[in-house]
Amino acid sequence: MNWLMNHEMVHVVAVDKAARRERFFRRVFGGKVMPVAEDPESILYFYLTSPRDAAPRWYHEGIAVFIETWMAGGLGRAQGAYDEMVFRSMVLDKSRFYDPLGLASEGTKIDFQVEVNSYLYGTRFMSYIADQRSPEKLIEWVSRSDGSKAYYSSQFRQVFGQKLEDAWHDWIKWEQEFQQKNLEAIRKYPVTPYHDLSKRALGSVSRAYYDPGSQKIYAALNYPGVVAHVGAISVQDGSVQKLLDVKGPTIYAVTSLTFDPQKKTIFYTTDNHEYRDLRSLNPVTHKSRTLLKDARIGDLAFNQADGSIWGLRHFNGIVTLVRVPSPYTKWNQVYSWPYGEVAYDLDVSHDGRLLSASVAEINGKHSLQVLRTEDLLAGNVTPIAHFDFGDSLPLDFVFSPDGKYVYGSSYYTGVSNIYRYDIETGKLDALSNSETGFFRPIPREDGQLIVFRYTGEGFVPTTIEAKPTEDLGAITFLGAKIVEKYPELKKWNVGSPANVPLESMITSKGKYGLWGNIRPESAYPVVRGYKDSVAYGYRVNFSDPLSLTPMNLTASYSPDHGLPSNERMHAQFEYHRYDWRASAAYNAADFYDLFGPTKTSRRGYVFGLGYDKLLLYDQPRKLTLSVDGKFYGNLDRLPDYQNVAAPFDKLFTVRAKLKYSNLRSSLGHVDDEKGEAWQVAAQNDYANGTAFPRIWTDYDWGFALPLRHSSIWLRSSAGTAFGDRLSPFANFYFGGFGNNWVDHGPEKRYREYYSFPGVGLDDIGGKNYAKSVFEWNLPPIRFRRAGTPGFYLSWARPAVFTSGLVANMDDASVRRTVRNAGTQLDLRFSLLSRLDMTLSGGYAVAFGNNLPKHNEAMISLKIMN
Amino acid sequence: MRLATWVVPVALLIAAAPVPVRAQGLSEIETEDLRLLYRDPSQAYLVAHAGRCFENSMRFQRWLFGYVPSQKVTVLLNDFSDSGNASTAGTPRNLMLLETAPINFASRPSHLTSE
Repeated sequence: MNWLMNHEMVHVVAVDKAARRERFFRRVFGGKVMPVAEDPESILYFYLTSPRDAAPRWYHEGIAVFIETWMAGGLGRAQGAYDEMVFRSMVLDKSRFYDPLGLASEGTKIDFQVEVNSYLYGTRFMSYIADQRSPEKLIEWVSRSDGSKAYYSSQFRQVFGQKLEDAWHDWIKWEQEFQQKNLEAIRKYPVTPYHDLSKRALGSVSRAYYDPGSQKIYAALNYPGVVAHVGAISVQDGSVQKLLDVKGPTIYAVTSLTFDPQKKTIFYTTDNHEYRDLRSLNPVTHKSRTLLKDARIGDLAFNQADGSIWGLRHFNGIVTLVRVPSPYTKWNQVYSWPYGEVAYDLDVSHDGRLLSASVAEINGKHSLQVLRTEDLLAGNVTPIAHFDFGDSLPLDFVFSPDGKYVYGSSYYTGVSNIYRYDIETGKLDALSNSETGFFRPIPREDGQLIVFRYTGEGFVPTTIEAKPTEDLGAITFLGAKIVEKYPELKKWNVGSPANVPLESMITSKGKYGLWGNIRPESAYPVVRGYKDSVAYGYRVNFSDPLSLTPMNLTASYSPDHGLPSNERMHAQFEYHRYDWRASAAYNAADFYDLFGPTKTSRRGYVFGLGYDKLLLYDQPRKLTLSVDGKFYGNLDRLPDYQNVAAPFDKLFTVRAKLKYSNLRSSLGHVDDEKGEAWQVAAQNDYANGTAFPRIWTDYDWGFALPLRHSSIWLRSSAGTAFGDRLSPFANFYFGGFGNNWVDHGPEKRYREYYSFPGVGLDDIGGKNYAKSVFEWNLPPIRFRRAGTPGFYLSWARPAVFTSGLVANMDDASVRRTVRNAGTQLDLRFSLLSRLDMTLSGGYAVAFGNNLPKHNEAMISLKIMN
Repeated sequence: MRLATWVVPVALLIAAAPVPVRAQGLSEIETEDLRLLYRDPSQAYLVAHAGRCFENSMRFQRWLFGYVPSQKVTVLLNDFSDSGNASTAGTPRNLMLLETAPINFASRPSHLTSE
């Protein structure tokens, strides 16, 4: 918790620290303004009140890691062996070093390490600047003080007299030379030869198991373009067979995985970022089932002697060693470590007598421990063997088949090499001298080791000879170089928090209440559209510190004498409290009605109450029930259909929706790539003493194509309304893409049931309908260098679709049958490093009888995705 | 028919009726710069440690940056994940969400300290 707190506090300071200008605008706007899509003017106010929030992630994470490391006396990623390995490998492999723009637009999206690249590049660049210019100058750059420039890159130029991009270029050149020297240092001794088992790198890889019978390695894999999965790697030809998707994978480890070699069963975990489930998988039949739901157990190790699984359970900050006996329907607590001691990477010897574990102490020291399972079950946690790795991590230690050794990896000398620990003698032998790094060893009977070799595209299964060596090359750490040059960094060590006199600092204790903590958050002028007029007004936001109860009130006025006087005033109110929503509006205005044909502003007043109940949350599976009630008065148009006149001016509507989604995608995706989603909705409109109920349902199903990030979707919908066919309340209306020229709704509006590109908005009505859309999402195009770091084009997403719609299916005399075919291209931009915008263009042609319009072109800019 | 048509939405509304709305049993302590929220009693044992970590870090930030917070920092302790992590927002309010689960070293093959 200490280093997490140190890291996160840097983020707070980086955004909250204010110069005179921000202090002024925070007074003007009543606080720091959060940009909201409903009122895009808030983007400007956001920048005026929190300009350093508008910096790329590498900037924020880089400075946070740099400071966190030196606050911990040099223990951290700014002096980390993993970071050294990443950049050393890039130099060895002649991989691309991204520039700041390419990193944000592509490097953090398509690489197997995705956003971790922000940490890696950011930390490295900050360290380079500290090394070349001094830590003091680095702090002067990132600190927002009076006299500093608001924008992060402008301040860089002010402090260093150089463009940030030029300094980045200098760093890359410097890094190449620095890592060449490290490679030469490693090559002073014979480098361990290896033989790759796979033709390609496999991205992130879990602990792996070799099955001699099938000559396959079972492991979970996660690389760009394919959804994370458990796979079988053939040691004969290197081919990878996909066995089953992994729900909720993590980076690097993907999942916790173990293997029962007798019953040929793989055990693995899902929901690895949430509460982990334990599942089993038959690698032959691909059949899988959940054994323990939300068990929170990981670091699995199979005991071949009795068929039990050992694992580590995380609960409320505590790590507990557990045993899950066959048939794996319950777990038993074996031992709970005190808070701050963290065990990880378990293994059980083949005879079931011994268990190995790596253990981190609260002071940051790590050790490898070997314990008797019999002792553990008797409550004795004294290890029979123990090796202190100091500040280095002993990773993935596993028993040899004879149980005399444990093999694992460690950055003990700065490079991740394979080590063998002799349990009887306590001797630790190095078995490799790797240029990049070897991980996750699997000792084989023939003395060879299967290991995973690090590359810029992830881990590659490979074999090496398991021969002890004392000839290991040692590298130079950039962090060590910096602290040697600037010993004042040692003063950054904040030491233990144990001596902070917290009790004397506490000003109050009690229960946290929502109502009592609601405070004004910000207030600012807004512009909105009402029908074809402009309205000017003010928006006030309120919230509690956790933003569980956001509330806003907007009042505006249209000085348009063409409007009736009773339509010139506008007022809107919204309130959320957990799952509840309340709203009220009078002549509701909308910013986006200033642009384009789609209008959501409506005359009259409305009071609404809504509730969302999450019935299932098992990511990516979600089932939500939403219920809304609204009362409208003085209406002139239907609330959902702008081009349909309301026959009565009062309307009471109750709508209930049950919505399910189970959608998945692979690393580097720009859209959902497979899965299903459905919703069932019921609505009752009550007007002039008559009820007009309706029901409709949608079902989407899609699958990934072998083309990277390309998918096929079938989206279907059907519905029926009850009541007089001639009443607009008893009809569904369809037509148009539905996107406004400037918009904040879904950019893929043609996927919605009411959309029908090629015909005019609301042109097709029907008491009942059936509709289907066939959609092909083509492979997206990524852009590496299109724009500036503050405003750049990230990707282009092309799609083609064709739809069919039948309305009034029950009456041939009024039946409408239409089809269309169209295309849409979405261009994703990023503004101020954190605000995504999408420019969409589309064209569709509709076919059918009596169509008032046969084709449609659409262009739309979506503000904030 | 009129009555029947109300049955589905009203029944769903009743089904959706929530437990009484409250701040999920959160307790808090406050210092000059900190509002620490936690679940009592399950996370009470972490409060002193979390508070000290915060104040220790804040003292350093004041020294290094000359930082004067514009408002208190709200820190919420959560146990919603099996992997320790955190996220922070500086806009519109200073808010830090801390997952109390241990760091998953298997997922972070780097040189880290756990505490």
